[in-house]
Amino acid sequence: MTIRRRREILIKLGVMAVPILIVLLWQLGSILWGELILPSPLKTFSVLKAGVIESGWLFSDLKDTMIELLFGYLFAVILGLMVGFILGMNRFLREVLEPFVLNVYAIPKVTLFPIFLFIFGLGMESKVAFGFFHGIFPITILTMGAIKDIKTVYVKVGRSLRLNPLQVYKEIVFPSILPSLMTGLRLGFNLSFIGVILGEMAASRSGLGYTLMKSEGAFYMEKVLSIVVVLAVIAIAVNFLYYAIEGKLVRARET
Amino acid sequence: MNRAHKITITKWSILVGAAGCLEIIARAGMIRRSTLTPVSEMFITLWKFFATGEIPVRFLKESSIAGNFFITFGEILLSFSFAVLIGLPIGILLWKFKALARILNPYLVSYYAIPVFALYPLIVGLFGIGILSITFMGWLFAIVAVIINTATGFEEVNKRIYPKVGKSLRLSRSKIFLWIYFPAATPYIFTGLKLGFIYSIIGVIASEFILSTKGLGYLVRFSYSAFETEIMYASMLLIVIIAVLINGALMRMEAWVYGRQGR
Repeated sequence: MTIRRRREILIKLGVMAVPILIVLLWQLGSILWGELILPSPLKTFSVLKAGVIESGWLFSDLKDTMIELLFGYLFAVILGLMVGFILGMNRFLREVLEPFVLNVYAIPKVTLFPIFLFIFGLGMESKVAFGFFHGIFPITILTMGAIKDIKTVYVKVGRSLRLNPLQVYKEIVFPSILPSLMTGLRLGFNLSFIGVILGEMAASRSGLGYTLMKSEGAFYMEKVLSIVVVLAVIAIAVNFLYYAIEGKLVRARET
Repeated sequence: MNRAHKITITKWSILVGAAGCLEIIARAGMIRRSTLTPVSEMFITLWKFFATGEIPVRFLKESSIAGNFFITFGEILLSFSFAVLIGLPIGILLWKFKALARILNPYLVSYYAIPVFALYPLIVGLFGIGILSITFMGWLFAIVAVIINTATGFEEVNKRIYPKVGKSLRLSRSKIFLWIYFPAATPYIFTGLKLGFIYSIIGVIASEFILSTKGLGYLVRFSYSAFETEIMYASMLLIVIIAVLINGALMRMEAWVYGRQGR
Protein backbone atom coordinates (compact mmCIF):
# COMPACT_ATOMS: atom_id res chain seq x y z
CA MET A 1 0.00 0.00 0.00
CA THR A 2 1.37 3.39 -0.94
CA ILE A 3 1.76 6.11 1.65
CA ARG A 4 -0.80 8.19 -0.14
CA ARG A 5 -3.51 5.54 0.01
CA ARG A 6 -2.72 4.91 3.63
CA ARG A 7 -3.18 8.62 4.27
CA GLU A 8 -6.55 8.62 2.51
CA ILE A 9 -7.76 5.73 4.63
CA LEU A 10 -6.57 7.45 7.80
CA ILE A 11 -8.46 10.61 6.87
CA LYS A 12 -11.64 8.58 6.18
CA LEU A 13 -11.24 6.94 9.58
CA GLY A 14 -10.72 10.35 11.13
CA VAL A 15 -13.95 11.65 9.59
CA MET A 16 -15.81 8.70 11.06
CA ALA A 17 -14.11 9.14 14.44
CA VAL A 18 -15.44 12.67 14.98
CA PRO A 19 -19.01 11.64 15.96
CA ILE A 20 -17.57 8.98 18.26
CA LEU A 21 -15.37 11.62 19.87
CA ILE A 22 -18.39 13.88 20.37
CA VAL A 23 -20.31 11.07 22.08
CA LEU A 24 -17.29 10.34 24.29
CA LEU A 25 -17.00 14.01 25.27
CA TRP A 26 -20.72 14.05 25.97
CA GLN A 27 -20.29 11.02 28.24
CA LEU A 28 -17.36 12.67 29.98
CA GLY A 29 -19.39 15.86 30.48
CA SER A 30 -22.25 13.89 31.93
CA ILE A 31 -19.88 12.33 34.46
CA LEU A 32 -18.45 15.75 35.34
CA TRP A 33 -21.73 17.64 35.62
CA GLY A 34 -23.80 14.70 36.79
CA GLU A 35 -26.62 12.85 35.06
CA LEU A 36 -29.22 15.27 36.37
CA ILE A 37 -27.88 18.27 34.47
CA LEU A 38 -26.29 16.52 31.50
CA PRO A 39 -27.77 13.05 30.99
CA SER A 40 -25.49 10.45 29.42
CA PRO A 41 -25.85 9.48 25.76
CA LEU A 42 -27.28 6.11 26.78
CA LYS A 43 -30.00 7.61 28.94
CA THR A 44 -30.86 10.15 26.25
CA PHE A 45 -31.20 7.45 23.63
CA SER A 46 -33.49 5.41 25.83
CA VAL A 47 -35.81 8.43 26.18
CA LEU A 48 -35.54 9.01 22.46
CA LYS A 49 -36.36 5.36 21.81
CA ALA A 50 -39.40 5.64 24.04
CA GLY A 51 -40.45 8.72 22.12
CA VAL A 52 -40.23 6.86 18.85
CA ILE A 53 -41.51 3.42 19.81
CA GLU A 54 -43.44 3.38 23.06
CA SER A 55 -45.17 6.64 23.96
CA GLY A 56 -44.62 8.31 20.60
CA TRP A 57 -44.34 11.81 22.13
CA LEU A 58 -41.90 12.68 19.40
CA PHE A 59 -44.20 12.23 16.43
CA SER A 60 -46.94 14.76 17.15
CA ASP A 61 -44.31 17.46 17.75
CA LEU A 62 -42.25 16.35 14.80
CA LYS A 63 -45.30 16.42 12.54
CA ASP A 64 -46.17 20.02 13.46
CA THR A 65 -42.59 21.22 13.09
CA MET A 66 -42.21 19.52 9.71
CA ILE A 67 -45.48 20.96 8.39
CA GLU A 68 -44.42 24.45 9.44
CA LEU A 69 -40.99 23.97 7.93
CA LEU A 70 -42.37 22.56 4.68
CA PHE A 71 -44.77 25.43 4.07
CA GLY A 72 -42.39 28.13 5.26
CA TYR A 73 -39.60 26.77 3.07
CA LEU A 74 -41.91 26.27 0.08
CA PHE A 75 -43.06 29.89 0.17
CA ALA A 76 -39.46 31.05 0.68
CA VAL A 77 -38.31 29.07 -2.38
CA ILE A 78 -41.11 30.28 -4.66
CA LEU A 79 -40.94 33.94 -3.67
CA GLY A 80 -37.16 33.96 -3.21
CA LEU A 81 -36.58 32.65 -6.73
CA MET A 82 -39.08 35.11 -8.19
CA VAL A 83 -37.68 38.15 -6.41
CA GLY A 84 -34.12 36.98 -7.09
CA PHE A 85 -34.84 36.65 -10.80
CA ILE A 86 -36.46 40.07 -11.02
CA LEU A 87 -33.65 41.78 -9.10
CA GLY A 88 -31.03 39.91 -11.10
CA MET A 89 -32.50 41.04 -14.41
CA ASN A 90 -33.23 44.65 -13.51
CA ARG A 91 -30.18 46.62 -12.51
CA PHE A 92 -32.03 49.67 -11.23
CA LEU A 93 -34.35 47.65 -8.98
CA ARG A 94 -31.38 45.63 -7.76
CA GLU A 95 -29.38 48.67 -6.77
CA VAL A 96 -32.38 50.14 -4.99
CA LEU A 97 -33.42 47.03 -3.08
CA GLU A 98 -30.09 45.27 -2.45
CA PRO A 99 -29.24 47.31 0.68
CA PHE A 100 -32.64 46.46 2.17
CA VAL A 101 -32.17 42.76 1.50
CA LEU A 102 -28.59 42.69 2.85
CA ASN A 103 -29.48 44.64 5.97
CA VAL A 104 -32.52 42.57 6.89
CA TYR A 105 -30.30 39.52 6.43
CA ALA A 106 -27.94 40.86 9.12
CA ILE A 107 -30.41 41.99 11.80
CA PRO A 108 -31.39 39.60 14.60
CA LYS A 109 -34.75 38.75 13.08
CA VAL A 110 -36.00 37.04 16.21
CA THR A 111 -36.70 40.40 17.83
CA LEU A 112 -39.30 40.99 15.12
CA PHE A 113 -41.14 37.80 16.04
CA PRO A 114 -43.82 39.60 18.12
CA ILE A 115 -45.01 41.27 14.92
CA PHE A 116 -45.57 37.81 13.42
CA LEU A 117 -47.48 36.83 16.54
CA PHE A 118 -49.68 39.93 16.21
CA ILE A 119 -50.48 39.16 12.59
CA PHE A 120 -50.68 35.36 12.58
CA GLY A 121 -51.41 34.42 16.19
CA LEU A 122 -49.83 31.84 18.44
CA GLY A 123 -50.58 28.89 16.16
CA MET A 124 -48.62 27.28 13.37
CA GLU A 125 -49.20 30.10 10.89
CA SER A 126 -46.80 32.44 12.67
CA LYS A 127 -44.02 29.82 12.50
CA VAL A 128 -44.67 29.23 8.81
CA ALA A 129 -44.38 32.96 8.24
CA PHE A 130 -41.27 33.23 10.39
CA GLY A 131 -39.59 30.28 8.64
CA PHE A 132 -40.42 31.94 5.33
CA PHE A 133 -39.00 35.25 6.55
CA HIS A 134 -35.70 33.58 7.48
CA GLY A 135 -35.39 31.41 4.38
CA ILE A 136 -36.22 33.88 1.64
CA PHE A 137 -33.11 36.06 2.04
CA PRO A 138 -30.31 33.65 1.11
CA ILE A 139 -32.41 32.34 -1.79
CA THR A 140 -33.04 35.86 -3.09
CA ILE A 141 -29.44 37.00 -2.60
CA LEU A 142 -27.85 33.98 -4.31
CA THR A 143 -30.36 33.86 -7.19
CA MET A 144 -29.88 37.57 -7.76
CA GLY A 145 -26.10 37.22 -7.76
CA ALA A 146 -26.20 34.23 -10.12
CA ILE A 147 -28.42 35.97 -12.68
CA LYS A 148 -26.31 39.12 -12.47
CA ASP A 149 -23.11 37.18 -13.09
CA ILE A 150 -24.23 35.30 -16.20
CA LYS A 151 -21.70 36.16 -18.86
CA THR A 152 -23.47 38.13 -21.55
CA VAL A 153 -21.09 36.57 -24.04
CA TYR A 154 -22.70 33.17 -23.47
CA VAL A 155 -26.16 34.55 -24.13
CA LYS A 156 -24.85 36.26 -27.26
CA VAL A 157 -23.30 33.02 -28.48
CA GLY A 158 -26.67 31.37 -27.93
CA ARG A 159 -28.41 34.06 -29.95
CA SER A 160 -25.88 33.82 -32.75
CA LEU A 161 -26.56 30.07 -32.85
CA ARG A 162 -30.18 31.09 -33.40
CA LEU A 163 -31.52 29.55 -30.24
CA ASN A 164 -34.99 30.76 -29.37
CA PRO A 165 -35.44 32.49 -25.95
CA LEU A 166 -36.69 29.25 -24.38
CA GLN A 167 -33.63 27.40 -25.58
CA VAL A 168 -31.36 30.20 -24.35
CA TYR A 169 -32.89 29.71 -20.93
CA LYS A 170 -32.67 25.94 -20.98
CA GLU A 171 -29.19 25.59 -22.46
CA ILE A 172 -27.38 28.68 -21.16
CA VAL A 173 -29.07 30.61 -18.35
CA PHE A 174 -30.30 27.69 -16.28
CA PRO A 175 -27.07 25.60 -16.30
CA SER A 176 -24.92 28.59 -15.41
CA ILE A 177 -27.02 29.65 -12.41
CA LEU A 178 -27.69 26.14 -11.14
CA PRO A 179 -24.76 25.82 -8.68
CA SER A 180 -25.54 29.12 -6.92
CA LEU A 181 -29.22 28.27 -6.99
CA MET A 182 -28.57 24.99 -5.19
CA THR A 183 -26.43 26.74 -2.56
CA GLY A 184 -29.19 29.29 -2.08
CA LEU A 185 -31.82 26.59 -1.67
CA ARG A 186 -29.66 24.75 0.87
CA LEU A 187 -28.91 27.86 2.93
CA GLY A 188 -32.57 28.86 2.65
CA PHE A 189 -33.58 25.52 4.11
CA ASN A 190 -31.13 25.91 6.99
CA LEU A 191 -32.43 29.35 7.84
CA SER A 192 -36.08 28.37 7.49
CA PHE A 193 -35.38 25.54 9.90
CA ILE A 194 -33.78 27.95 12.39
CA GLY A 195 -36.69 30.36 11.96
CA VAL A 196 -39.31 27.69 12.65
CA ILE A 197 -37.46 26.33 15.69
CA LEU A 198 -36.80 29.81 17.09
CA GLY A 199 -40.45 30.72 16.62
CA GLU A 200 -41.56 27.57 18.40
CA MET A 201 -39.11 28.19 21.23
CA ALA A 202 -40.22 31.80 21.65
CA ALA A 203 -44.00 31.34 21.66
CA SER A 204 -46.13 28.46 20.50
CA ARG A 205 -48.38 25.62 21.58
CA SER A 206 -46.79 22.67 19.80
CA GLY A 207 -43.73 21.50 17.91
CA LEU A 208 -40.23 20.35 18.80
CA GLY A 209 -39.06 23.86 19.78
CA TYR A 210 -42.02 24.21 22.12
CA THR A 211 -41.41 20.86 23.81
CA LEU A 212 -37.72 21.74 24.02
CA MET A 213 -38.46 24.84 26.10
CA LYS A 214 -41.14 23.06 28.13
CA SER A 215 -38.77 20.22 28.97
CA GLU A 216 -36.09 22.71 30.00
CA GLY A 217 -38.60 24.39 32.30
CA ALA A 218 -39.45 21.02 33.84
CA PHE A 219 -35.72 20.20 33.97
CA TYR A 220 -36.33 17.06 31.93
CA MET A 221 -32.89 17.20 30.33
CA GLU A 222 -33.11 13.77 28.66
CA LYS A 223 -35.94 15.11 26.55
CA VAL A 224 -34.06 18.34 25.79
CA LEU A 225 -31.09 16.36 24.54
CA SER A 226 -33.17 13.92 22.51
CA ILE A 227 -34.84 16.81 20.69
CA VAL A 228 -31.43 18.38 19.99
CA VAL A 229 -30.31 15.03 18.54
CA VAL A 230 -33.43 14.75 16.36
CA LEU A 231 -33.03 18.31 15.05
CA ALA A 232 -29.35 17.78 14.29
CA VAL A 233 -30.06 14.53 12.46
CA ILE A 234 -32.77 16.15 10.31
CA ALA A 235 -30.55 19.13 9.48
CA ILE A 236 -27.54 16.99 8.58
CA ALA A 237 -29.60 14.51 6.54
CA VAL A 238 -31.21 17.24 4.43
CA ASN A 239 -27.86 18.97 3.91
CA PHE A 240 -26.18 15.75 2.80
CA LEU A 241 -29.01 15.26 0.33
CA TYR A 242 -28.40 18.75 -1.05
CA TYR A 243 -24.63 18.18 -1.23
CA ALA A 244 -25.24 14.92 -3.08
CA ILE A 245 -27.48 16.67 -5.62
CA GLU A 246 -24.96 19.51 -5.98
CA GLY A 247 -22.14 17.03 -6.55
CA LYS A 248 -24.17 15.16 -9.14
CA LEU A 249 -25.03 18.35 -10.99
CA VAL A 250 -21.40 19.45 -11.07
CA ARG A 251 -20.33 16.07 -12.40
CA ALA A 252 -23.12 16.10 -14.99
CA ARG A 253 -21.89 19.48 -16.18
CA GLU A 254 -18.32 18.33 -16.50
CA THR A 255 -19.07 15.34 -18.70
CA MET B 1 -30.11 63.96 -12.10
CA ASN B 2 -27.64 61.13 -12.42
CA ARG B 3 -28.15 57.45 -11.78
CA ALA B 4 -26.67 57.33 -8.28
CA HIS B 5 -28.93 60.16 -7.15
CA LYS B 6 -31.95 58.45 -8.63
CA ILE B 7 -31.14 55.24 -6.74
CA THR B 8 -30.60 57.05 -3.45
CA ILE B 9 -33.83 58.99 -3.83
CA THR B 10 -35.83 55.86 -4.69
CA LYS B 11 -34.31 54.00 -1.73
CA TRP B 12 -35.29 56.71 0.72
CA SER B 13 -38.73 57.22 -0.78
CA ILE B 14 -39.44 53.50 -0.30
CA LEU B 15 -38.33 53.70 3.33
CA VAL B 16 -40.20 56.94 4.07
CA GLY B 17 -43.25 55.76 2.09
CA ALA B 18 -43.46 52.51 4.05
CA ALA B 19 -43.10 54.36 7.34
CA GLY B 20 -45.73 56.86 6.22
CA CYS B 21 -48.19 54.09 5.30
CA LEU B 22 -47.74 52.48 8.72
CA GLU B 23 -48.17 55.86 10.36
CA ILE B 24 -51.45 56.53 8.54
CA ILE B 25 -52.78 53.02 9.17
CA ALA B 26 -52.06 53.35 12.88
CA ARG B 27 -53.35 56.93 13.20
CA ALA B 28 -56.55 56.18 11.29
CA GLY B 29 -57.24 53.38 13.73
CA MET B 30 -57.30 50.67 11.03
CA ILE B 31 -55.11 48.62 13.36
CA ARG B 32 -55.53 48.90 17.11
CA ARG B 33 -52.93 50.79 19.14
CA SER B 34 -52.29 47.64 21.15
CA THR B 35 -51.01 46.03 17.94
CA LEU B 36 -49.35 48.85 16.05
CA THR B 37 -48.08 52.20 17.24
CA PRO B 38 -47.52 55.03 14.73
CA VAL B 39 -43.92 55.17 13.53
CA SER B 40 -43.48 58.72 14.80
CA GLU B 41 -44.39 57.55 18.30
CA MET B 42 -41.86 54.72 18.09
CA PHE B 43 -39.17 57.33 17.57
CA ILE B 44 -40.55 59.55 20.32
CA THR B 45 -40.63 56.66 22.78
CA LEU B 46 -37.11 55.72 21.77
CA TRP B 47 -36.04 59.31 22.27
CA LYS B 48 -37.59 59.28 25.74
CA PHE B 49 -35.55 56.16 26.61
CA PHE B 50 -32.39 58.15 26.06
CA ALA B 51 -33.64 61.46 27.40
CA THR B 52 -34.70 59.99 30.74
CA GLY B 53 -32.29 57.04 30.71
CA GLU B 54 -35.12 54.83 31.91
CA ILE B 55 -37.45 52.35 30.27
CA PRO B 56 -40.90 53.05 31.66
CA VAL B 57 -42.16 49.51 32.19
CA ARG B 58 -43.22 48.17 35.55
CA PHE B 59 -41.52 45.11 37.02
CA LEU B 60 -38.59 45.28 34.62
CA LYS B 61 -35.52 44.05 36.46
CA GLU B 62 -33.03 46.25 34.63
CA SER B 63 -34.87 49.44 33.76
CA SER B 64 -32.03 51.78 32.79
CA ILE B 65 -31.37 51.94 29.07
CA ALA B 66 -27.62 52.19 29.62
CA GLY B 67 -27.68 49.06 31.79
CA ASN B 68 -29.43 46.98 29.13
CA PHE B 69 -27.19 48.41 26.48
CA PHE B 70 -23.99 47.56 28.33
CA ILE B 71 -25.15 44.06 29.21
CA THR B 72 -26.02 43.21 25.61
CA PHE B 73 -22.89 44.77 24.17
CA GLY B 74 -20.72 43.28 26.86
CA GLU B 75 -22.04 39.85 25.92
CA ILE B 76 -21.57 40.53 22.21
CA LEU B 77 -18.01 41.79 22.61
CA LEU B 78 -17.08 39.00 24.98
CA SER B 79 -18.48 36.27 22.74
CA PHE B 80 -16.88 37.83 19.68
CA SER B 81 -13.49 38.20 21.38
CA PHE B 82 -13.49 34.57 22.41
CA ALA B 83 -14.60 33.52 18.92
CA VAL B 84 -11.58 35.39 17.50
CA LEU B 85 -9.11 34.31 20.18
CA ILE B 86 -9.99 30.64 19.71
CA GLY B 87 -11.19 30.69 16.10
CA LEU B 88 -8.13 32.33 14.53
CA PRO B 89 -5.59 29.82 15.93
CA ILE B 90 -7.85 26.90 14.98
CA GLY B 91 -8.17 28.32 11.47
CA ILE B 92 -4.37 28.58 11.20
CA LEU B 93 -4.03 25.06 12.59
CA LEU B 94 -6.41 23.72 9.93
CA TRP B 95 -4.36 25.42 7.25
CA LYS B 96 -1.07 24.03 8.62
CA PHE B 97 -2.36 20.49 9.02
CA LYS B 98 -4.15 19.50 5.84
CA ALA B 99 -5.19 16.10 7.18
CA LEU B 100 -6.94 17.71 10.15
CA ALA B 101 -8.69 20.14 7.80
CA ARG B 102 -9.95 17.31 5.63
CA ILE B 103 -11.21 15.39 8.64
CA LEU B 104 -13.10 18.35 10.09
CA ASN B 105 -14.27 19.93 6.84
CA PRO B 106 -17.52 17.96 6.35
CA TYR B 107 -18.55 18.94 9.89
CA LEU B 108 -17.53 22.58 9.58
CA VAL B 109 -19.47 23.16 6.37
CA SER B 110 -22.64 21.58 7.77
CA TYR B 111 -22.29 23.31 11.16
CA TYR B 112 -24.63 26.18 10.33
CA ALA B 113 -27.26 23.72 9.13
CA ILE B 114 -27.96 22.67 12.70
CA PRO B 115 -30.31 25.04 14.53
CA VAL B 116 -27.69 25.96 17.14
CA PHE B 117 -30.29 27.75 19.26
CA ALA B 118 -31.81 24.39 20.12
CA LEU B 119 -28.76 23.94 22.35
CA TYR B 120 -29.68 27.00 24.40
CA PRO B 121 -31.96 25.18 26.89
CA LEU B 122 -29.14 22.69 27.47
CA ILE B 123 -26.61 25.48 27.97
CA VAL B 124 -28.98 27.16 30.43
CA GLY B 125 -29.17 23.84 32.25
CA LEU B 126 -25.38 23.75 32.45
CA PHE B 127 -24.53 27.39 33.20
CA GLY B 128 -27.81 28.84 34.44
CA ILE B 129 -29.74 31.83 33.08
CA GLY B 130 -27.43 34.78 32.68
CA ILE B 131 -24.46 36.38 31.01
CA LEU B 132 -22.40 33.19 30.84
CA SER B 133 -25.01 31.18 28.90
CA ILE B 134 -25.81 34.02 26.52
CA THR B 135 -22.14 34.76 25.83
CA PHE B 136 -21.59 31.07 25.20
CA MET B 137 -24.41 31.04 22.61
CA GLY B 138 -22.98 34.09 20.83
CA TRP B 139 -19.58 32.42 20.82
CA LEU B 140 -21.00 29.13 19.55
CA PHE B 141 -22.75 30.92 16.70
CA ALA B 142 -19.75 33.06 15.71
CA ILE B 143 -16.69 30.85 16.02
CA VAL B 144 -17.11 28.57 13.01
CA ALA B 145 -17.42 31.52 10.61
CA VAL B 146 -14.08 32.79 11.93
CA ILE B 147 -12.44 29.35 11.63
CA ILE B 148 -13.64 28.67 8.08
CA ASN B 149 -12.70 32.08 6.70
CA THR B 150 -9.28 32.10 8.37
CA ALA B 151 -8.40 28.69 6.97
CA THR B 152 -9.64 29.63 3.49
CA GLY B 153 -7.76 32.92 3.64
CA PHE B 154 -4.37 31.33 4.27
CA GLU B 155 -5.11 28.59 1.77
CA GLU B 156 -5.76 31.22 -0.91
CA VAL B 157 -2.34 32.78 -0.29
CA ASN B 158 -0.74 29.41 -1.08
CA LYS B 159 -2.13 29.67 -4.59
CA ARG B 160 -0.33 32.94 -5.21
CA ILE B 161 3.31 33.75 -5.87
CA TYR B 162 4.04 35.69 -2.65
CA PRO B 163 5.23 32.75 -0.51
CA LYS B 164 7.70 31.76 -3.24
CA VAL B 165 9.09 35.27 -3.26
CA GLY B 166 9.57 35.00 0.49
CA LYS B 167 11.39 31.70 0.11
CA SER B 168 13.66 33.00 -2.60
CA LEU B 169 14.55 35.89 -0.31
CA ARG B 170 15.45 33.26 2.31
CA LEU B 171 13.12 34.63 4.93
CA SER B 172 12.63 32.51 8.00
CA ARG B 173 9.33 30.64 8.31
CA SER B 174 8.03 32.92 11.03
CA LYS B 175 8.87 35.97 8.94
CA ILE B 176 7.16 34.51 5.90
CA PHE B 177 4.10 33.95 8.03
CA LEU B 178 4.14 37.38 9.63
CA TRP B 179 5.08 39.47 6.61
CA ILE B 180 3.58 37.54 3.73
CA TYR B 181 0.81 35.16 4.71
CA PHE B 182 -0.81 37.30 7.34
CA PRO B 183 -1.15 40.53 5.31
CA ALA B 184 -2.19 38.64 2.18
CA ALA B 185 -4.86 36.71 4.03
CA THR B 186 -6.23 39.78 5.83
CA PRO B 187 -9.24 40.41 3.57
CA TYR B 188 -10.51 36.84 4.01
CA ILE B 189 -9.89 36.96 7.72
CA PHE B 190 -11.77 40.22 7.87
CA THR B 191 -14.77 38.66 6.14
CA GLY B 192 -14.68 35.98 8.81
CA LEU B 193 -14.53 38.59 11.55
CA LYS B 194 -17.39 40.53 9.99
CA LEU B 195 -19.58 37.44 9.83
CA GLY B 196 -18.46 36.46 13.31
CA PHE B 197 -19.48 39.82 14.73
CA ILE B 198 -22.89 39.75 13.04
CA TYR B 199 -23.42 36.18 14.24
CA SER B 200 -22.42 37.21 17.76
CA ILE B 201 -25.06 39.93 17.69
CA ILE B 202 -27.71 37.52 16.39
CA GLY B 203 -26.73 34.78 18.84
CA VAL B 204 -26.73 37.07 21.86
CA ILE B 205 -29.94 38.96 21.10
CA ALA B 206 -31.84 35.82 20.09
CA SER B 207 -30.78 34.07 23.32
CA GLU B 208 -31.82 37.10 25.33
CA PHE B 209 -35.16 37.04 23.58
CA ILE B 210 -35.81 33.35 24.22
CA LEU B 211 -34.76 33.11 27.85
CA SER B 212 -33.04 35.71 30.03
CA THR B 213 -33.68 38.45 32.56
CA LYS B 214 -31.79 41.43 31.12
CA GLY B 215 -30.61 42.99 27.88
CA LEU B 216 -32.09 44.48 24.71
CA GLY B 217 -33.46 41.18 23.37
CA TYR B 218 -35.18 40.56 26.69
CA LEU B 219 -36.60 44.08 26.61
CA VAL B 220 -38.56 43.26 23.45
CA ARG B 221 -39.72 39.97 24.91
CA PHE B 222 -40.73 41.47 28.25
CA SER B 223 -42.63 44.43 26.80
CA TYR B 224 -44.42 42.04 24.43
CA SER B 225 -45.54 39.83 27.30
CA ALA B 226 -46.49 42.88 29.38
CA PHE B 227 -48.67 44.25 26.52
CA GLU B 228 -46.47 47.38 26.43
CA THR B 229 -46.68 47.67 22.65
CA GLU B 230 -45.16 51.13 22.46
CA ILE B 231 -42.09 50.12 24.44
CA MET B 232 -41.80 46.94 22.40
CA TYR B 233 -41.74 48.75 19.07
CA ALA B 234 -39.28 51.33 20.36
CA SER B 235 -36.92 48.55 21.54
CA MET B 236 -37.27 46.72 18.22
CA LEU B 237 -36.46 49.93 16.40
CA LEU B 238 -33.40 50.41 18.60
CA ILE B 239 -32.09 46.91 17.84
CA VAL B 240 -32.74 47.26 14.11
CA ILE B 241 -31.00 50.67 13.99
CA ILE B 242 -27.97 49.34 15.89
CA ALA B 243 -27.72 46.24 13.67
CA VAL B 244 -28.04 48.23 10.45
CA LEU B 245 -25.43 50.78 11.58
CA ILE B 246 -22.96 48.06 12.56
CA ASN B 247 -23.60 46.12 9.37
CA GLY B 248 -23.06 49.24 7.27
CA ALA B 249 -19.82 50.09 9.06
CA LEU B 250 -18.52 46.53 8.67
CA MET B 251 -19.38 46.42 4.96
CA ARG B 252 -17.59 49.72 4.42
CA MET B 253 -14.53 48.48 6.32
CA GLU B 254 -14.57 45.28 4.30
CA ALA B 255 -14.65 47.20 1.02
CA TRP B 256 -11.70 49.26 2.28
CA VAL B 257 -9.68 46.19 3.26
CA TYR B 258 -10.25 44.53 -0.11
CA GLY B 259 -9.63 47.77 -1.99
CA ARG B 260 -6.34 48.35 -0.21
CA GLN B 261 -5.11 44.96 -1.33
CA GLY B 262 -6.03 45.53 -4.93
CA ARG B 263 -3.48 48.31 -5.21
